Amino acid sequence: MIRVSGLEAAYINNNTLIPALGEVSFTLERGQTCAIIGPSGCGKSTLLYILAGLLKPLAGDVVISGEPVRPKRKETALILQDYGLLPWKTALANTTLGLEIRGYSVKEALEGAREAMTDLGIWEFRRHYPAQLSGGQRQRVAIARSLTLKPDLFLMDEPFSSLDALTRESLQKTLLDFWKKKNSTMVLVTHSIEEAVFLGQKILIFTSGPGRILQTVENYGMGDAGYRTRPQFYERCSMVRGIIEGGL
Amino acid sequence: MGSGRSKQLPADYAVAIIFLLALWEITSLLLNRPYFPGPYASLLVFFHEMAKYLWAHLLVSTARVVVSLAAALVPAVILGMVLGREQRLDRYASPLIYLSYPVPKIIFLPLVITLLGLGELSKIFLISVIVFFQILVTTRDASRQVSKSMVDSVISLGAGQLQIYRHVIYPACLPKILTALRISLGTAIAVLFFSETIASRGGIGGIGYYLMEAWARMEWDTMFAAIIAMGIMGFALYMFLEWLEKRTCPWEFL
Ligand SMILES: Nc1ncnc2c1ncn2[C@@H]1O[C@H](COP(=O)(O)OP(=O)(O)OP(=O)(O)O)[C@@H](O)[C@H]1O
Ligand SMILES: [Mg+2]
Repeated sequence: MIRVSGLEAAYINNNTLIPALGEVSFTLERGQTCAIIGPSGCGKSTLLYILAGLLKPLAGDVVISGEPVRPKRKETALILQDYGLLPWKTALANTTLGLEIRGYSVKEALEGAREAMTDLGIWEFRRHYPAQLSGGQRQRVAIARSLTLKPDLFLMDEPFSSLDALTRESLQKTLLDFWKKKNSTMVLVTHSIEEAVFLGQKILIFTSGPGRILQTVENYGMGDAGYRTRPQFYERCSMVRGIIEGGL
Repeated sequence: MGSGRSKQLPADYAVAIIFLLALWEITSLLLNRPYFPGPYASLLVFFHEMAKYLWAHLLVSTARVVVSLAAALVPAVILGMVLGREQRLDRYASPLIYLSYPVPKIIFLPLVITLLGLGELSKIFLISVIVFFQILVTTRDASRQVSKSMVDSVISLGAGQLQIYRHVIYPACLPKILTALRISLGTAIAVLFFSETIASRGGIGGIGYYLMEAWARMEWDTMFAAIIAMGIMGFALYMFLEWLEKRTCPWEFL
């Protein structure tokens, strides 16, 4: 599904090149989930932006579903930590926005939004503005919006980092359920080791910036809601923590 | 989330109006001069004058302000939104704006009259130019501040340039545009008054003209009737803009 090889990225500021990502290669099969974790500033968001086609790499190849990455690939959904929702649109209008932009009729957009919002338990909040929603509800609206587009690839940049622990765990579970039901590919950037181990079949651990992949952990056993309470889960968490601390 | 805006009730306005009228009455009593009549006498003359010609002057003046604001608003908003997003264009435009913004453009009034004559065009042009810069600068700054991730997430939904403007930039700027418009309203009325007193040919010259005529004839009551008319115009337009903001930016009043 995703093949990244020899990827390098940099930003240009005042004519100087600021490296953000150095030599990253990995592959992800269709239907797999992948968690990316690493120190702040190592280029995780940069990688996600490149996968979304919003940023051009300096070098290397990115192939998604057999085609070179390009902006506005219809089946890619991007969910950001904040600001994904427009404060001037109600929850419903935010959810229909994707379909509206892609030229679906009002009726189709409404139908799609109703289905996704009902699935996520936020249909009753459809007339609320984002400012009138809790953090968890807001993130559910953002997820609902991407679901309306029937994506096969979810890119998420710290989607739950501003939420309290309970809301966070409940949304992680929601996401897991969706992944199992729809079998879509997911790339999740996170700062939380527990989240990475709970949601990532594959865990990419990055070095500090410009980031490279320090180690890839195959997280066997992930994928069921009870995983969080198993000894195996704790072992995997401390293993990941060990790798991160060792790499710094 | 509360944006800290106070919600005025009609009763609050009534109290404020009574207070201002009382202040006026007291000042008038204390001064005790023919050129400073009290509110009662002035209001009587106001209604009397409105029934004669004042309403026509009021209408003309209001139309001038409204047309000038509208004429400035559309290009200022479009240009401001684009400059806020296109840094390359803004590099050329910014110095121009910074150089011309602080110049009091009212000093061009004689030149504008010479070029465009004493008719409507010169007044509307001058008000529009002044208000244009105020709205342009506000809109450009608002457009610059639109968060990049908000734009990115809409691009990732497949939005093109026009859709970015429609769904993100324009609504993000709208509350600030309306605030700029409210502030510009005061400027617009001041410039209107000035240009009506200077550039009028007689006839229905507008309230500024009407007021200066009354002043010249030392008809103090009539002069105060014109002041009341000008005040009512400003208040009505201001209230209209408030209403417009409530209508178009409901998310600002949660
Ligand atoms: N627009 C930009 N212009 C210049 N440099 C940038 C820009 N965005 C990011 N960078 C730099 O690129 C590097 C990687 O940034 P990135 O946002 O990808 O990090 P990150 O891993 O997502 O960090 P965090 O965990 O804090 O979100 C950082 O050193 C950052 O300073
Ligand atoms: Mg980041």
